[in-house]
Amino acid sequence: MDSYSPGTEVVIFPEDDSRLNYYGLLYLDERLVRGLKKDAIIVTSNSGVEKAAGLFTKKIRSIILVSKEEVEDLLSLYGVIDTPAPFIVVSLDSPEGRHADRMLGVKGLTVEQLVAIGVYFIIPFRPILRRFAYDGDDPEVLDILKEA
Amino acid sequence: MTNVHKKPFKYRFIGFLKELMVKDSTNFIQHVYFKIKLTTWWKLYKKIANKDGVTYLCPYKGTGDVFVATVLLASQIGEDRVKRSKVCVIGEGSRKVVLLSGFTDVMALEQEEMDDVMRMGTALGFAPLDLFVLHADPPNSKMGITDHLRNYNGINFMDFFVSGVFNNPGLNVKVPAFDECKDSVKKFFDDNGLIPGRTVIVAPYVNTLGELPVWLWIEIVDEFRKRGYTVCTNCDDKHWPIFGSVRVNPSYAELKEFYEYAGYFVGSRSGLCDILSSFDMCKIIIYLSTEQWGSGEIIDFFSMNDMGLCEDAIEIVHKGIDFLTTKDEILRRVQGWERSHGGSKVPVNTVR
Repeated sequence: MDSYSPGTEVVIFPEDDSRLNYYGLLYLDERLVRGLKKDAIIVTSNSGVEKAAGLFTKKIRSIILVSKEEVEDLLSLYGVIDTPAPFIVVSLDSPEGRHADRMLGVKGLTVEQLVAIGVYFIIPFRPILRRFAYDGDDPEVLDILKEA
Repeated sequence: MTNVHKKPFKYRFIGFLKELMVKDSTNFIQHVYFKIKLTTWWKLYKKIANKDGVTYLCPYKGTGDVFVATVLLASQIGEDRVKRSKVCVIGEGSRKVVLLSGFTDVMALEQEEMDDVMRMGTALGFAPLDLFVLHADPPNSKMGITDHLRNYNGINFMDFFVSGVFNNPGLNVKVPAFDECKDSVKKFFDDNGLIPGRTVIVAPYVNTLGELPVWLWIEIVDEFRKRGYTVCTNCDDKHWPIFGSVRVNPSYAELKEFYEYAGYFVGSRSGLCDILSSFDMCKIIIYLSTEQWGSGEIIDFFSMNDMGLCEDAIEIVHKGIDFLTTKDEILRRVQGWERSHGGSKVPVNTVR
């Protein structure tokens, strides 16, 4: 397993929501550019994210597939440690106490904006339009790509 | 959220301890760290827990944040539950703001204690502990992302509370009940030679947003005095009143009587402006455009009229370094307000 370094962004995908995961992967490259990061380590409990991530970016150092319980433990630890957030969580209501899902639809706010602006802090924001050349038939990958 | 959640917390607490400490006890330092942390949290939880229901947390001590959160909370839960609810804030000043909305059980915590409460909630869950956070994105937690959305699609400060906190876009502010204290206000005016209805209260000092330079306030005060007004500076003991004005610092409960008796308010946008939004007087609010606030400016996010706090605030945006233009604009808008409220008795020409 690759270790963390300051030039690496650790991004956690704890959700099974394909739309959320799609936008999380779509804007990951832009996030790395804005954050002056070289590459990313993805931690996820969703195997679709693990399989599809390579289609979105080449800047992935490693992908760590963990169980749901391990992700929950990790996000609980998030509260215990006194340091600034060491990782980004691609979720609207996790870790505990994040209620950004309540803002969904307020004055037309979309999931895409909540992920790009809220989670990744991509300001100014321009929507990314992208097509993917995927000729496989993995249902988990197709589930994520259907949002394109 | 009811008391039935109290018991599971204990189980969850013990479970958390087992999972994180006992299971991974190979690391002695980590073991001791978690043990100290959880012991601190347990004591803290017993201190803030509300036997009759939910404990509401104001995790940021900004006056405006606390005021807007608690007037909306009072509107959301109704008078009966206001009496039974417990609110925890940071510092004595915030405690006094909460009391305005009728809450009686209000506890002032230290900043470090509130930070620990937020960490405890993030680790163990807020709902199982019967805690409710009155902020969409507490600065002392690492959980929020909402703050990044400032001004996008026209999202303003009020949207953060009505949607981000209360999930109730139709929620309206419940104007708090202020004290009746006309006699003491009248006495203060008499003792200090202030003219009722022709006194300008200036508020040049703010905590979060930007301020105009003090020399400009001296010129503004001077201009009002030339035109026959008496002037006060709303400030605490840590600040000097602007030269030529009387220091005033009424309690939050007395603000309405005091300000309406004076007649005029001119101040930089601050939490004080949220409190006086419902007052029947001339309110001139100055916003600086020197700072970006998300994708817009400060006025886009904090405009009192757009937030729905009031409809009659006169809002001025200061740009660049031409401070004297802002001064002239303030005087012009005061004259305009007087013309629409029964005519001005003062000269109209601005003097530099």
